[in-house]
Amino acid sequence: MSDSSRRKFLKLGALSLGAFGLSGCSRNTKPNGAEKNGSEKAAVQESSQDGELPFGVDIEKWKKGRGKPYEIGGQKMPGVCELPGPEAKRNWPPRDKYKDAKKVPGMCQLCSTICGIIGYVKDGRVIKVEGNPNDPNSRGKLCARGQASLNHLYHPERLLYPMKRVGQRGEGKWKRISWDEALTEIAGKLKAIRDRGEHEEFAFHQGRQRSKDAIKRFLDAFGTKTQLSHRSLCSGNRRAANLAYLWESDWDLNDCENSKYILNFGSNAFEAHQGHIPFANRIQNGRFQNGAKMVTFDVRLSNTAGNSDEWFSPFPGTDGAVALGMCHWILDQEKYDREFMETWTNVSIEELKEHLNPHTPEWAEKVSGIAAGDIKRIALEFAAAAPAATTMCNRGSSAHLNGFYNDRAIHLLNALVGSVGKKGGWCWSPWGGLDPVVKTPKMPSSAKTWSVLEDPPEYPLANVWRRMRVGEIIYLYLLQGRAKLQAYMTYNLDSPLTWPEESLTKDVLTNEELINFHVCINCFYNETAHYADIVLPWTTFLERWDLDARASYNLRPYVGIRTPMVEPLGESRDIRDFFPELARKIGGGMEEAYDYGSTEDYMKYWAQNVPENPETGKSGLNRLLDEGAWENQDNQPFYEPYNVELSAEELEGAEIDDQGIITREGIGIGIRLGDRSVRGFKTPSRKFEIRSLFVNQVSQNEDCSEMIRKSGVTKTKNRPEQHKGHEVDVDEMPIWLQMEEHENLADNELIMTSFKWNVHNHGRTMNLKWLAEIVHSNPAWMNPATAEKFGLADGDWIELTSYHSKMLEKTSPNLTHGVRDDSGRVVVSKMRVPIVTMPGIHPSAIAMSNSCGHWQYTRVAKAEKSSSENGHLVGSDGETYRDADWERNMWWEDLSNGDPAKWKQNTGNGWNQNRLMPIAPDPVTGQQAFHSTVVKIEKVG
Amino acid sequence: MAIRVDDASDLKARAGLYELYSRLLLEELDLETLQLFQQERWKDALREIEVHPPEPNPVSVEILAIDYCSIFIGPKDYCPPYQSVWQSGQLQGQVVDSMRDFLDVVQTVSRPPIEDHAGLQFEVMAQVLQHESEFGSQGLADSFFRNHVSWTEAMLGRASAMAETGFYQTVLLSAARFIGCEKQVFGSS
Repeated sequence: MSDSSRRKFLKLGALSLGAFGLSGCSRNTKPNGAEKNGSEKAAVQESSQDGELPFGVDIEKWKKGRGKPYEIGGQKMPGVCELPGPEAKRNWPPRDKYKDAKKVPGMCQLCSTICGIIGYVKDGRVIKVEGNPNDPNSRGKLCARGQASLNHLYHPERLLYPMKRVGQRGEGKWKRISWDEALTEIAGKLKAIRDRGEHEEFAFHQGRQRSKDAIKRFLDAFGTKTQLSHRSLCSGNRRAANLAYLWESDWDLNDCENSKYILNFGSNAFEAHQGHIPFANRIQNGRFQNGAKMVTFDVRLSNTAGNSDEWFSPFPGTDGAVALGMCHWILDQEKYDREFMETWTNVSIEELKEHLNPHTPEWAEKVSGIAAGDIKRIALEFAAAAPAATTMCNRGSSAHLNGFYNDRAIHLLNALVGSVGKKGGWCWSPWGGLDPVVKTPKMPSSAKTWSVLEDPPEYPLANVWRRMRVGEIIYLYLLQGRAKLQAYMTYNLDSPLTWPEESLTKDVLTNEELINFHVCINCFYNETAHYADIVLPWTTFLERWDLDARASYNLRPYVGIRTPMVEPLGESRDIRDFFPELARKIGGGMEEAYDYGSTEDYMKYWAQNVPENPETGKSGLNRLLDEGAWENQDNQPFYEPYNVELSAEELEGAEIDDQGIITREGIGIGIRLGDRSVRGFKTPSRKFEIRSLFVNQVSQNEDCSEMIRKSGVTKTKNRPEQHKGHEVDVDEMPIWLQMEEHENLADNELIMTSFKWNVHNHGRTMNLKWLAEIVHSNPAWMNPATAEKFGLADGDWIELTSYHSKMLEKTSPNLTHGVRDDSGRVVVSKMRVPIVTMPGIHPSAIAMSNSCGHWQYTRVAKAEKSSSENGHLVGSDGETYRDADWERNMWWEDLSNGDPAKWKQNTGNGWNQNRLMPIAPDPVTGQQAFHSTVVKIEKVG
Repeated sequence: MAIRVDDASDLKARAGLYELYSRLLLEELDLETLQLFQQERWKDALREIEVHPPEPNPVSVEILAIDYCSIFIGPKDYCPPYQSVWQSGQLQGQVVDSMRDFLDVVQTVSRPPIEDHAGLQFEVMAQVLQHESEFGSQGLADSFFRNHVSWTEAMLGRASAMAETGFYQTVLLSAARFIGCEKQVFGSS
């Protein structure tokens, strides 16, 4: 800098001194002397006697502590997520990294499994996350996602401030606003909706959420029941199949640890199951400590299939046929558990034999491609191992247009061999998560509104037992004018990436007439935030409170705690923190739902029934903060609950009908078996309902009140008035049906399936460097024989054309939209992808993993290094930057600029498979059929 | 140019520059500040370093707020003004500990929620230089500059290149030039 330039700078400097009140001359920060407002502004420190410190510097303190501050270039930085990249010096971790670190319990939320964790906190920073051995479900184990919590917490592109859209929606132009401004504007919109009595036109749309009470409190206080979820994109069919048999639980918990035989239909528990780590741990214990055999049927050689004793690859969507073939053979060979079947099911052996008569193993072989000999052998092995034998299944079998029936058929195997509720068998729990011993502070009355978005009448079993909803139809129904939304609040949701029909989702989210006002609550700027009007920065799961638990594989309830390990970064806030403030701004009585004091007060109340630990003397919240989780060891595992005898007190005033069903005041409580009065199953027949009259009759909109009363399950409801005219034929027996579009596939057609990797969830982990480095792309898997047929080799590119379902075109014509091509099918979308050939995929299937293909969600998710003109990379100073791994070592950046000829394998951020997926709900439950889509294959170039 | 770091007026002027840049980095410009910049002496001084503030009106405030957001707040492809991000690739690196140590010594008016924010570091530097203009050097300015200010030159250059408004382009570039000059002063170029 020249003399004259310097003089100019100094002149400006002289003018600036004290002008902004920052350098000790004044404590005001605005030039006109106005005080700053808000916590983000001045936090004036203690002053000396005359009101001000001399220039704000305590030089004596400096002299005493001189040299103490951290020196650049010194030791490695604990708490900074470094991996030894090629430019990093290996001296890791430092010897004293964990010295004096405080261990704080929490619960992971990077997938749905909710493993207990411990954060090591040092100097206000989380420096490591590991599994909490006190967590009874996860037992101290933690997967790669959980280990990457530090990436999540300290990601350089985290949302730190509220923002308001200033350009067109989806244009990506924003300005920062204060929380007060944000909440005032949101409150204004919501209040107006409420004042007009149009409560249902405010929708809350959640992705993965673990603060059920906080959300319900807010929505009930507001008065809307339009709470949308992604359950139908996940597990609707499996849940409905369970409920049809059990009524009291939608979640089978396979007691694999005590099992001798595990029959897996399409579940990838070692990588991505809802029970992932706890379940995988118990499966392996069952196999290697209890001698269990594991057989997997899966279209694709998943890591679970690959680690099984045997793997079979059935034709997509035929799992139920294989299961029925096994049932047939077990009956044929008289290997069933007669006592269980006759005592505890509501069909006779003869009825069932007749029903299954056509479903021979040879028939199953014809539709599935699995040899009848293997079906017979495995069926008998399974029966021989019973009752310590269990099936397991998940999206592999259920995410099909016939998924409800697939899972009904699979579950039936357990009844036949008498493993239902048995140790080592097919179990469940009546509590979905938290130990019922904990009680939330008083909740407001439930909202009474109805919305077609929350309860579409076309799907009879979506909402009769539980609110499973049908998430994938939301944007289509808005587009079709079947509902409108004045306010839409999204929470941890990435629908443009994870929902089918990406382009439709984007179009609707962009359209301000269809969604008038969109508030997005998230930790990162994802594809949903891109279409918001206001973005609120959300805390990570390491910075907020919850009591939480998952379905327990110990078969007894527990409770765990999520607690702020560190202060929220920036201005991020949790809904527990700002919903009360928002409610007070809306007013009109909403504020009354928040009279419990602080969030910590709320947690104290909620946890108050957690008993004292005699060793520590701690109880309630203090015990949870100390241990992270509590399981009542006095509770026995939930085995054979149907056999539990009713007490004299329970039987007082009870009546018994001619079928032996015991009721009190008309409500079923048990069943009479010989001279015993037992609890039975919580179904209308008090038995395991192989024949479900309910699913048939409720789907026809018949009044099922009497059945519901006998079950004693108060949550179960008849379908509402709005469902009239939407009668659906649902078979009362476990059956299997062939999907029309899968018959007679053309030579150039395959069936597309999807999967998750062990390091990712569907839409929320690709921004995490440690995980994205392991998996960042998703070429399509193709069997080598299939590739040869198409003249393709590894790395070749194909164009995929996806089609709407022929079956749904008939049953649900409102779902099909688009142009019909020469094949006569209606096209959803086209996409070009490279292939990778591997034998671990059925020759008629093509597989792409999800999680990939982000076009927002940080540079890591987009695999962009983003270099700048002056040679510096954003986020790195060329002189002092030392974490080579973070930016410069993002070696997978795709430099092909979209040219397949230049693309290199294992580069780029992959492709969003959901661009191809049609909206395809199973007509029974509404579960999205992610694995049923027919695609046409054409070689590119 | 002979640099006299012990010259009190020089130190105070540099403190003033840090104060100015601190204000510009920490938050969006408001109408009052734009009005201040329209005062003749301010206008002249800014013009001399080729910075031309826009007319003080709500539209200008809005345009600058949008640009500020896209440069420093995000939501994407922005220039995080946090030392940890530039030096360790993530928020809340150990430099925050060091900043806390310095903040224990130097009282500041501002306290942004993330403590290794460049704007706060400039404010500390302003305080320290003012102090040294009165009491002489104790090594604090030198230490703080090396640890927590010198890194900003590259960030400011990048931020200037990302800016869409002429004001932020020029004022951030001027800040980068100033820090470059400061590196000479502290012998850390």
